[in-house]
Amino acid sequence: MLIQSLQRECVLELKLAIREPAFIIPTLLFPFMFYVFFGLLFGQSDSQSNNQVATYLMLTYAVFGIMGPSLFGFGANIAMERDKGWLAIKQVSPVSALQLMFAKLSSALFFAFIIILGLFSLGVLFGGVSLSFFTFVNLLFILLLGVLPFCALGMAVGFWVNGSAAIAIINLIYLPMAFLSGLWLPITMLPQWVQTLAQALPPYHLSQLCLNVIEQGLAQANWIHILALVISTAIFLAIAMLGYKRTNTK
Amino acid sequence: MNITVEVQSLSYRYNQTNVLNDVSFKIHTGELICLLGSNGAGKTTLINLILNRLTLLEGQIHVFENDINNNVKSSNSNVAQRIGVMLQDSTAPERATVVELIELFASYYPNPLDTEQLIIELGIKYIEQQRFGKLSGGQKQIVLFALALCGDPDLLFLDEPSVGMDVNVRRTLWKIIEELKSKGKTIILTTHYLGEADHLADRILVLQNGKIIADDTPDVIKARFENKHIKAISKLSIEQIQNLPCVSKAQKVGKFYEVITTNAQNTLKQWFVDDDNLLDLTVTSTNLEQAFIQMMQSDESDKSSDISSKDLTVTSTNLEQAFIQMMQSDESDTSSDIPSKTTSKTPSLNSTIN
Repeated sequence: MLIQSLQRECVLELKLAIREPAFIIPTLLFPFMFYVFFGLLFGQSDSQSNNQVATYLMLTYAVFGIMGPSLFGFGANIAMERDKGWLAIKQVSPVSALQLMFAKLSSALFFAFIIILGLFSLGVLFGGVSLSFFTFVNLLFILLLGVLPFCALGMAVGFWVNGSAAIAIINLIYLPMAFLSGLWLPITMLPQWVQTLAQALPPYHLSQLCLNVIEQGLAQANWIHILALVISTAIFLAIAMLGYKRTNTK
Repeated sequence: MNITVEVQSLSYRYNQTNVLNDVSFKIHTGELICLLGSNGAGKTTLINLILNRLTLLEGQIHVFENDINNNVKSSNSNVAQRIGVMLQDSTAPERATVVELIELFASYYPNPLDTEQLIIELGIKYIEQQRFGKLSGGQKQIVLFALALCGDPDLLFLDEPSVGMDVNVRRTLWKIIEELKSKGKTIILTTHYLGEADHLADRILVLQNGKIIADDTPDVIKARFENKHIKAISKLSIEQIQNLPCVSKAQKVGKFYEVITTNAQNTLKQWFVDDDNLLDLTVTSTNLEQAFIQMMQSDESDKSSDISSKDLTVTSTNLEQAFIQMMQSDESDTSSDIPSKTTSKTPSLNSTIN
């Protein structure tokens, strides 16, 4: 019964996301579009460094890509469900908050998976990216786990901000944070103060984890990145939990 | 009889105002009680407290003998499995179909109803594949009702279920509610429609400014509302007026007598016999709002004669005209019957409080 309920929850969550063009088009299209423009078409004459850029940006745009469904899927959805009283109906039903959040996570993972596969395919087919199968699997694994801090961040926004403001606020977090973390342009091309600031941003750490795999990172230790991601996830979750309690008793 | 819900000296303050003030009542298993009150009376706050959506500050609430308390989550989840809720201002995601929503909710409960059968019983088979956002207001309410029902709960909270429903849909709702009652379900219903309360409820609790000012069967409550105000200039003394049949209250305000009667017809019949020159006659149905105000006043103090002039500003032109006609015809025959037209406007329970 529990499994069946969880399955229904996940399937419906996914269906609702797929039926929402305002969600599906930007989250799927932007990462591919940006990667094609900046990673593939902006290529250099020298094919060796060209491939290197294509590989580097494939990973940073993958980080950018997985942030979208995580932030919007949690943030905007939760805020909207709160506004409509849908969350309230569920809160008085026997369903656990854990199931609701797991369904959203599964939906975010589904879209993240599509985006990662799409970018990897574009990189291999048009960017001359050549990595071992094991490396691809390793990167996929890191990126999928990497949705967690952004899901938590989305949740924190969703439980504190109302539906109409949530989308604006998430965009205000999403786009600047992606740029300042060096996802659009390599971090080394950005001014020193941005590189310092980036140390405080989760996307920077996730992208460096991925880049370390292909030895294009800034060679900071992996444990620093992992610790930074875990701590930021914990902080966002705590903020979200406070918000959840507040909505539960409002 | 078992008690399903017990509320003891419950008070709730929000921003320094008393939303609920020392509320106590018991709901027996299988009872259908209706919470009646104007907006801001505290109905929804009361329901939210029982549902543990608001933090209990003062008083005690027991549901199925479980102490409802924010700190005891385990018993609350046991309670959640046995209740079904239709909240005010709650809607479902627009892009989900009706059947998807009902099947999802049914999966939350240990012993849900057969969703297919429920859909047929509620008469929503024809819209089961439609998206929630495409439904009319009444259809949405029925789907939300289905979500409250699908877990086969023992206790149902229906917060203004019939809002936006047309007559047919409302009839379906009433039919289902009556069936649930016959199956021994306990139901707490809030409504603005007195007719709905009258039709369905075993007991009506009237809330006003956070207090329960009446807790009785629909018939008793209704009787309280069936008063009429009569306003007129008459040569009779106040004692004579007070002694007219069915008069419950009378006072003189300026040159007018203001009279509350339980039966305007009987009062006026005698009044015309005693005084054939009644002037400026106005008869007003006490609407519910006025009835509440009266109840409140008699609750707070014993100024039994209080009918503020405000209560009497609402007049019914038709009745007035009818009485003028009647007076004219009475000049020839003082003992004639009051035209039936004048009595046709008994305070029907279909008036809304809001």
